[in-house]
Amino acid sequence: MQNLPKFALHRLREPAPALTDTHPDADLLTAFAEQSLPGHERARVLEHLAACSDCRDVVALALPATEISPTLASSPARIGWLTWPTLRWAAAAAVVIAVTSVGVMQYSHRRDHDQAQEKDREQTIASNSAPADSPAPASSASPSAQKSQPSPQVTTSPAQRKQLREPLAPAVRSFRSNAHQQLPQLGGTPQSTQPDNSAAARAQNAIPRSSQQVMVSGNPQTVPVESAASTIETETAGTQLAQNRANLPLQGRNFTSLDVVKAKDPVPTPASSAPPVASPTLPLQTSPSMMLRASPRWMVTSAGALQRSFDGGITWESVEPSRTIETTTVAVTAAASPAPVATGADETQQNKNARAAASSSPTPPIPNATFRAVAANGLEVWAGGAALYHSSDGGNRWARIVPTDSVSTLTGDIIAIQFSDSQNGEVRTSTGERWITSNAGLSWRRPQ
Amino acid sequence: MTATKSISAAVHSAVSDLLAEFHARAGCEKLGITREVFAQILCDVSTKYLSPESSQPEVRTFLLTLRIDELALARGCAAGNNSAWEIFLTRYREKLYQAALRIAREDSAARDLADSLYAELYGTSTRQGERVSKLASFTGRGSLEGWLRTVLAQEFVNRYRRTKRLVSLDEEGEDGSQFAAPEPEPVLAADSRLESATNAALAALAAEDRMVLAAYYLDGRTLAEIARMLGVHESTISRKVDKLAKQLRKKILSGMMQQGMARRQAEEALEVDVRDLRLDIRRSLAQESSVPAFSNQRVENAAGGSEIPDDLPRDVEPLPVKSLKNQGLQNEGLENKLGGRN
Repeated sequence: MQNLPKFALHRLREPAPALTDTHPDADLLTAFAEQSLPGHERARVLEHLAACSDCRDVVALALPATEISPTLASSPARIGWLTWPTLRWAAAAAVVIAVTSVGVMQYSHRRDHDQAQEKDREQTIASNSAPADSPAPASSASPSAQKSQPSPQVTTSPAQRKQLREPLAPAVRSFRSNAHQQLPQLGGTPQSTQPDNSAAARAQNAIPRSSQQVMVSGNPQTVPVESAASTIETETAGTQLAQNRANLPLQGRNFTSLDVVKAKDPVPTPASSAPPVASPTLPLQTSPSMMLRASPRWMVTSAGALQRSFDGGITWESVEPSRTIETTTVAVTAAASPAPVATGADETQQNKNARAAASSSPTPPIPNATFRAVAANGLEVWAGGAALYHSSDGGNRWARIVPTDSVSTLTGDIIAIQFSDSQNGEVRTSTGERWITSNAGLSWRRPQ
Repeated sequence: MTATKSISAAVHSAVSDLLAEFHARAGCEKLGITREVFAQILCDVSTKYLSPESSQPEVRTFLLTLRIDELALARGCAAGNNSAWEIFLTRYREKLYQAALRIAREDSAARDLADSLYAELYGTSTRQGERVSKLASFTGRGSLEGWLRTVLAQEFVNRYRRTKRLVSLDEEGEDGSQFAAPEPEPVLAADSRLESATNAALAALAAEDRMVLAAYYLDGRTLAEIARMLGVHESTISRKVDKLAKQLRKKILSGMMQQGMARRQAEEALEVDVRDLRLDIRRSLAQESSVPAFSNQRVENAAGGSEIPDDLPRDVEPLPVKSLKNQGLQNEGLENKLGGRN
């Protein structure tokens, strides 16, 4: 209760002598307390009571005892189930439940919608590409594509799928700990023209059809053969993953520093170098389901410039990894990665090799690099041309990556980049090399 | 005196209208009350409470609200009728002790209180050679049971106040000089704006609101008690107290600011010196000595019949100058009313 000003209390306390001389008699006070006084008499008694503490005391003391019990008995009886205080809380709870359920429904609806879109798109691509592709990759791709469709978020292993359902760190871990992925062999050599044509055709189709796709178009002047992976979908499965990704610090994989292994060996030794890792092969078309909507879209222009769009392809801005790269020290600490990848001892060895190579020969970025391929997976972006760059924050900071294994390094221009998730990807070069990573570029190997 | 006659005429006609019915209904015969006596009682009661201008229907309505049964019983007891006393004791003796216990909250004090009331009810006190029973003052405005409780409470308050006054006078005797030194005249002069603003704010309140504030803040009554006193729900009183306190504060502040005080100054002035407040309590306690005891008043009322109790012989009033000065605006309305009645 509010406090009264002291002076007001004092004034209330002042008895008025003229009034206290004329206390209402016991009959009037009784009738007052019993609420049986007519208005004008009641007003007079009230006027007196306001000034006379004695009479107030009398009225209060004379209150009947019997009226207490009805009052006390009736008030708990009224505080029942459906009384207002209870209903008030019930109403509040109902509102909370309603809001929550609407939110959940909205979220799941949107996710279903995304999944449906994803499926549509994949099917469209599959149908577009199937006739054009060479028979062998097409046939090998189809079953995998079918298999992966029901789970647009994850296109690889069931283990990853499981991890993805967990919200935060596991989600990130799953990006990095995927099974290896191989692309279908599009002919024996990169120069095979048939797949290129089909890829180009797909790219042409994709431009008007969907602004949500990341376009990777090759540069026909530089390399006569277009990248096979010219169409990569970046459509995504859920905004939550994007947020999780965005919020998570990329501990131990800070690409602000340059991570370069220079490719010096022009003659690769493909047969002997690659470690014998058996990877499940997934076709290109099904790979991009992991990509997240909240992240920018990427494309490479015909002039070889790398561009990104944050508004769904309406406006594009050029990105130059060579400028935003930080050419300080080399520090790749794969061991401190928050989601260590259990891929085997050989890979750890590779990481060591990579670090050793990186620290021994830091390579400055190539200015005005021409790009021929880009692959985005949420905020993880891989761009390649004369060199391979990687950004893990949506293209703001870049690190130059030179794939190398124990015996050789990448040579030639990069013409195709395919990443099925943040961890697993493949890079192909104009010299016909294929480099595969399963730990986001920390270590590479060349498949047989 | 023409006025008195006209009252009598209206009252008489109303009383004689209802007398037969009332007389039978209340079982007056058994209680030893004749028609004539009962008619006189009804006339006295009507004259006591009704204004001289009351018309016959008004008197009739008034008479119909009276508790005729209990009025007859009380007056029968007052007249010393044995069967009336039997009925009274059967109905009320136990209740009277219970009520006394509730008021005094302690067994021996309760018995003391009840016994002294019994003595008054029997009419031990004599005045001009007459045995006057307190029951003779019962008018049937409320229930007899409620009236008994009220009378007990009045007696209790009178005793309590007497004790309190004795204590306070003793204290004053011991350390009176200590308090004599800081005469609060300069304080009051400085606070004239506060005083007038407070008076105006309080005067603007309805009597019921002032009563609620006083009962809550001064008497320390609970919200439930105040609610029962006024016959409303407790939550109503709770809201009311809160609202009134805020309003009052705001009004006093704005009143002082209207008189040219800065807001901060006005807020400071609201926090009156505690020492000053204590002095004022002492003064108001001293003032109460001028109030006659309830019991005396009641007896006088009963004895005086239709006389209005303002004519009571009063003690000489040693009213402090300040209390006269403090007789604020809020009392003017009632004073006028009372003056008009006299």
